[in-house]
Order: sequence, then C-alpha cells, then structure tokens
Amino acid sequence: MTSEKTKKRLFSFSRKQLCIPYAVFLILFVIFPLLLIIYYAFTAKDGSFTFSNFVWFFTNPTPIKNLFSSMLMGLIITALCLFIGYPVAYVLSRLKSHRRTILLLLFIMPMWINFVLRAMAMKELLSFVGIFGKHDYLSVVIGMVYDYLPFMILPLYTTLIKMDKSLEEAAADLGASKAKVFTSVTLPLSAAGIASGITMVFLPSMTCYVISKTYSNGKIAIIGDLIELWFGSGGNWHYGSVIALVLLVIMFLCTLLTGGFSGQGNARETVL
Amino acid sequence: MNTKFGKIISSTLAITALTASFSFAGCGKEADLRVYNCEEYIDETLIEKFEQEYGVTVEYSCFDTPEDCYNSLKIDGDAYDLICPSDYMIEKMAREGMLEEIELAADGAYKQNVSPFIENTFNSISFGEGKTLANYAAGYMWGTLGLVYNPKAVDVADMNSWMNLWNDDYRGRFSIKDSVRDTYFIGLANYYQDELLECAADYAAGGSKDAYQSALRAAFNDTTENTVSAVKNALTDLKERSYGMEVDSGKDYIITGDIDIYFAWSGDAVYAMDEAEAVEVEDEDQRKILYYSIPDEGSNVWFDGWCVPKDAKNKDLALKFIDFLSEPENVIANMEFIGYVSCVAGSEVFDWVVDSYGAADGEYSVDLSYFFGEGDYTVVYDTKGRQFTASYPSEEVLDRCVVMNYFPDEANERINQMWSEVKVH
Repeated sequence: MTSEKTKKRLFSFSRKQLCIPYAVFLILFVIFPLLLIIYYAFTAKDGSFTFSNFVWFFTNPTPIKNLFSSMLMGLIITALCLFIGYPVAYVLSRLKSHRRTILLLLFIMPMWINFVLRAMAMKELLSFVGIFGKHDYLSVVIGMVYDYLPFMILPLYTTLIKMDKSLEEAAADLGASKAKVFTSVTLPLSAAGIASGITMVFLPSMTCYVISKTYSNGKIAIIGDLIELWFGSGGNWHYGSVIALVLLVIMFLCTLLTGGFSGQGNARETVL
Repeated sequence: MNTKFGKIISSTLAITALTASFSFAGCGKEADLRVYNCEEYIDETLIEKFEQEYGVTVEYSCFDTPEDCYNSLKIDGDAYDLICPSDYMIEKMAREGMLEEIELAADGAYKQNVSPFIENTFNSISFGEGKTLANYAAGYMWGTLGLVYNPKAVDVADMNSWMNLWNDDYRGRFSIKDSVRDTYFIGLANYYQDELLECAADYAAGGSKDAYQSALRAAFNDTTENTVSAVKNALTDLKERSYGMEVDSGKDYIITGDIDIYFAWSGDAVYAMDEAEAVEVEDEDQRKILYYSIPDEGSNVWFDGWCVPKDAKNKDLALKFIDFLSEPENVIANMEFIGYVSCVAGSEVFDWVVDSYGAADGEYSVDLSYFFGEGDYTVVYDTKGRQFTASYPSEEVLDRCVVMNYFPDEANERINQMWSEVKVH
C-alpha cells in the first residue's frame, strides 16, 4: 500500500513542481543579474558600500537630462503609436472574420522579420525621401513608430475583439450617440489594452538604443547609450548599474500606474 | 513552514546549482589553445592550418571592442590563452597585472621578422623597472588615423588639416567615430592646433625628431580638466556638424556618396578605396577614386598585439601560434584577407608589397627601410595617397604620428563623462 503510493508520487508532478524549470530560469537569468546590478549600484570600485554612485547620478546633469529627453521621446512615440494604432485596431475588430484574418496578418507580419533588419530597411527608405541624415529627431520618431506600431495594435485589438458588443448595442438603443457610445463604453472597456500597449511601446522605445542609433547615425543618444558607455569605454560598471537601477524603478512605477499589475492588463499575455 | 513549499524551494535551488555547475564546467574536452581576437581579424583558414601542422585543437572566439575583451577577462581570467587587444588596452592590462610576460624564441618567425619600427614603438612604452610593452605583447596589425576623401567633392588642400572638419563647407559631409578615444584625438588636434603646427615647422626647419615627437605625445595624451572641457565644446560642435557617428558604417557612407570625408583607420581606408573603385560604372569618369590623408597637425599610430593572460593554461602553445602567424606566407595570407598591415616585416613581405603596389616606371618612390630594416627597401609606385600610401606611409609622415596611451582611471572617467555629454547633447 505504502510502496504503491510512493510509486505514484514518483511519476506524478504537482502543478507547483511543473514550475521548477521556469523558476530555475528566473533565478539564473532574472534574479541573479538583478542582484548583481544592485550590488554594483551600491558599491565603490574597491567593493565597499557607498551611495556615491547615486549622488553622482542625481547631481550630474547629463544622465538626468538624458533620462528626461529619452522619456519625452518615448512619450511622443507612444502617443503616436496609440493615435495611429487605436483606429486601426478598432476597425480591424469590427471587420468580418475572413477579411480580418488577412488584414491582421498584414499587421503582424512585420514582427516576423528581424527587428534590426527592418530598421535598416526603414533607414534606406527615410534616406530616399531625404529625412535620414538631415532631420535626426524626426527620423528616429518615424522609424520607432514604424517599429513599435504592431506592439500597440495587437493588445488593443485583442481587448476590442473580446469586448461584449451587446454593451455597445445597449448603449445605442438607450439613445447614446455614436461618440457617446465610444467615449463611455468602448474606450473604458479597452483601457486594459491601452495600458498594455503603452507599456509595450513606451519602455523599449526609451531604452532600445540600437534602433535610435540606426535612425540617427549615432547622433541621438538615449538612456540606453549611457548605460552602454559606462559598461564599455567608460569602464565604470557602478555608474552603469545606477542608471539601470533608476530606470528599473521608473519602469516599475510606469507599470504600476498603467495598471500592469492589476490583473486586467492580461491582454499582454494573449497577444503572442 | 509548509514542508511542501519548502521542498519545492529546495529542489529549485538544487536544480539551479546543478545547471550552474554544468554550465560553468562546460562540456566535452577543452581545446588546447583558446584564442580571443577582434571580429573579422584573421584569415580563419590559418587556424585550421595551425591545427593540422601542430596536431592541436584551437577554440577561436571574438570580441567587439577591447573593453569587451577586458571585461570578459576580468570575469573569467583563465578563459583564454591568447588575446589580441589594442595598444592602450595592452597597457592597461599590463599595468593591472593581468598579462603574463612573454619571451618569444629568438629564432622564431616573429623575432626574426618583426619590423624595427614596431619594436621601437613597443619599447617606447615603458612600465618602469626596465619593462616595456614589448615584454607583454607581440605586434599583430598596425596603422594610422586619417581622412579618406573624394577629391572630386572636396578641396584636396583642405584635407591636410583636421580643422577643416569644423569648416562650414563640409557641414554634414563627413563622419566621425563613435569611439571616445579616436574622436577625442581629433578634439585634441583642434585644441592644440597652433602649437602642433609650430612644432611641425620647427622640425621641418631642422629641429630634433625626439623633441617633435615628445611634443606631439604630450599634446595627444593631455587629459587635464581644462583641456577636456575645451575639447568637449569642440566635439559637441563637431558632432552637430557631422553626418553621423559610426564605427563600421562609414565605409558604406563614403562608397555610396552619403559623405565625402570619412574619418578612418588606415585599414578601413584601404577597404573603402578598394570597394569604391570596384563599383561598376557606365562611364569611367564616374568611377570613384578615394584618397587618404594624414593631416599636418599630426595623427595617431595604433597597433594591436597578441598577449597571454596571466592565468592562461597553455602559454607555450600560445607563443607558437604567434610565431606561426608571423611566418611570411601566413602574414601575407592574413594581410590579403583582413586588409590591414602586419607588424611583421621581412623580405618576403616586402616582395609581396612590391608585387601588389609597385610600378617599375612610377613617378614616386618611398624608402621603407624604417619599417623593413637595413637594406634597400625602396618602392617605386605611381599613385600617391592611395592604398599603398595608406598602408605604408613614409617615415616623414610617421614622424608626426604618436601612440595615444591608456587613460588612467580618473582621467578615463573624466573623458567618458565629457563624451557622454557630447553624445546626449
């Protein structure tokens, strides 16, 4: 009796046990590196505990200025993506299903092509129309909007398609104008999609310096460049880690603000 | 504590530890020689040839920048037996005690063939206690910094001065390096322009070469606060004026014509010249013939060298690999593949140079005995300022080129702080 029980236990896994592979991954590649960043941020070159790296960050105009300009750029790109993406997602979600599949595919397909490759192609295009190399800021904004647009459209689309259409019909039946239906029913119900779209666009557009470098010929540096500089030629991992840590806190706050932890932002998980 | 939960935690930790130990131990047999070189910086068939000739296995891996090389060695000191960092990084590593002293066989290919110019340069970088860079490194490739230009699009005389990069005529038509040391160098040329030209004039009027070189070294190794902040303004302006900052794409920009002046390392200059003239054209007049110039204010002579890390496991084989790469036929194969100039000289290499660049009835001639050693090493050639001149400048031109030393920690931080301000401006 007892032996049978043990046998059974050997070959069956509890749900928690099935999480072990991911937990291993998490410890090795998320928690451990994070601890390293925290370690470097709070230590001096000789390994002693210090706040001087934070003092350097908060009293030095360069990283702060750069942080704000990167955020501003991220905001502009996110706003444009939302402005362009929302109507597209809305129309897509209202289409008949066969047409919808084809159109949706058209929007997703760019995501199947390597990111850097797409950036290079866009760069050539911008060069052809005479923006690249002349208007660096514009070039970066257009390029990044192009690159990140699918990441905005998809979560929006997923929320909109799952929305109960009868709620809109009910509002219309009860006399609400089309605009009123949109502002008081559709928009609030798609808030979760908007929130996850914003997180998926805003955070990378602030830090993915390879892309901004490509579109500006290296002339526009965002906060990611500074981290790279201090880990590279600057040879000061402590400064690099402080910038990374500050950025991490900001991202955490952003996610908190957009309701990323509320459980309603699940659109993100259903996207891919 | 919930025991079940405890079990899960403990098994997770155990598996983590297990995975970690597996990954650090590596799998399979370790190679006899582990070489760590810059990207695209060797003819890889030479590695196979070495493996066959010596009956050994070589594990070859690459880094992007000398800083990456330094970082990986800091993390895992015994991961490599032979590395190939740049001049200043060799200096930094040697000073930090990360490198083993090397003594190559006197009758080996390297000692027999290394250029006296390279030996002198290595010996001029002293670490005190009678030690110089030559005790820690064997030269691999070397070159200069200069301007590649399209003579149809610029005033050729303007290319004799770094200052013309700040000239309104060339706004948006040149690229600079997205690499702090190289661009800081031209910032210094700008800052010391008058002094540098004065020294050059003194030297031309019969002044001593040592005095000239030491004045150049002092100027191009100035890392004091005042200088750095003055250079910052010059470079911020330069960045605004430039077409872009690059480390790799500049070659393409000048070939396609996006820019007319390309601030380049001499090896890349040769590559750009080769590629530009190979582009198919309908009319010969359209063929793009690029030139290379080392401005009068002075420039940088740089080199990369093979070093053995302190904790290397197979130091003897590492030295054998250096000698193998220094054998004339391998030197030539490597130079043909990479396009940079080897630190190794010797008569076979000279014959190859004459075969590749010489022209019996050419109108110019240059004496390369400073590089190849005593004897008649004069090359007669017919196109000045092109691939040959870029690869093997005359001694007169090299008189105005100096090595830029490594920046000590404090200066390095100051200069990178300045550089970050330039970049985010």
